[in-house]
Amino acid sequence: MITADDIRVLIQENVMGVDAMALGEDDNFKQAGIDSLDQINVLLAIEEKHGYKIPDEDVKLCKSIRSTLDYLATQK
Amino acid sequence: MIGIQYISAYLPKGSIDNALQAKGFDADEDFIRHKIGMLQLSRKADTEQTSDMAVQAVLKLQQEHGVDLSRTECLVLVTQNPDGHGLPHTSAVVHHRLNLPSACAVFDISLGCSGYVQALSVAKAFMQSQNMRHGLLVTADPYSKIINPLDRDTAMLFGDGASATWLSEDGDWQIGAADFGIQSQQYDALQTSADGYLFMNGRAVFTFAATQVPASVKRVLEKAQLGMADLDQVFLHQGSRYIVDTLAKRIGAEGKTPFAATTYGNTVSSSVPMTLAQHLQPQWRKVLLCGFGVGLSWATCLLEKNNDHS
Repeated sequence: MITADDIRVLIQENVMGVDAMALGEDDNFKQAGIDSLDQINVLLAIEEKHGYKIPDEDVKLCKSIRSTLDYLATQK
Repeated sequence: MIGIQYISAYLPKGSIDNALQAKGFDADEDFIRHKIGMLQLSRKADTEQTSDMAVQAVLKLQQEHGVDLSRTECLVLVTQNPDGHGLPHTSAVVHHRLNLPSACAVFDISLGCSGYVQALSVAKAFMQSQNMRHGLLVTADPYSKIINPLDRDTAMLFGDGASATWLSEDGDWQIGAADFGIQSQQYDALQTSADGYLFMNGRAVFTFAATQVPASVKRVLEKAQLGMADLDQVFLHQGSRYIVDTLAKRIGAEGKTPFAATTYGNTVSSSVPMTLAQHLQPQWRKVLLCGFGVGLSWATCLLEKNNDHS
């Protein structure tokens, strides 16, 4: 089961200029400095490292750590 | 062996201020500067044809390197936005405009961002099979013909440009190990829509590049029995600064992947040769090229300095 800290680690590894470890679960990615390109990159890292498949139409559901976890919980 | 002797690039005079344009898309200058990476997007004049750009690139090759065009035995043009309605092939128009010899094989290749790297191998094999000694490989694919200026996904990326490469027997840069492929189940991720405008599924293209390019680079290095440390530079398709930086990290080539498109944008099949024209250094021994995009296809190849030209 993927955790909030797993996502923070992937953000840390893939997004420049964001203190991922300080990111709250409800913090909006865009407002935290994670733009649309970063978001795509982080979702790819989630797919690769944790074996999920996130269709294009579901990307909009992943706007924070919590909403991403909630979405992923319905997928596996 | 047929190899690359000279490369020249042509940029039209017009351009768009991308940071200014970005305001209309609710994107800030930081995003343009650090993620897109393209502050200006070059634009051809409305009256300028694809063949005009191709001709200008070849004329620059002649001016900059003194190439004797009367020795041209083969002219290959990479484009998916040809003159008129695509018939005749645009390379025929270019051939006429340049007054090249009639004993010359002339054809277009329909490929996008992987086109230059793929065409290098096509032209090399074709020329060698027919004992040709000199040929022209030209790229000219002005996407301004198909960009919807209101489309956030594409309007901030593409610029117009053309390149011309002089291929010759015993050229300075030999075309070595290569890898080609396509993820055709997503052929529609980059396509001209029914309205005539370019459509791009940015996430699909990014994911394709981020996964397929590293695998392709690895295969070429294995074929050539080389490691990344053996390469002087890696010339990646200039899709955006973000994709170049992401790929550099994924293939372990940080600091070796030049980004040259800041003042003109993603010029499709011209992006790799335009970057080569700006950055290729004569003292280097081995460089890698990789183009990826429309199809979704990729092409990767090694260029090795001709040992006789040290």
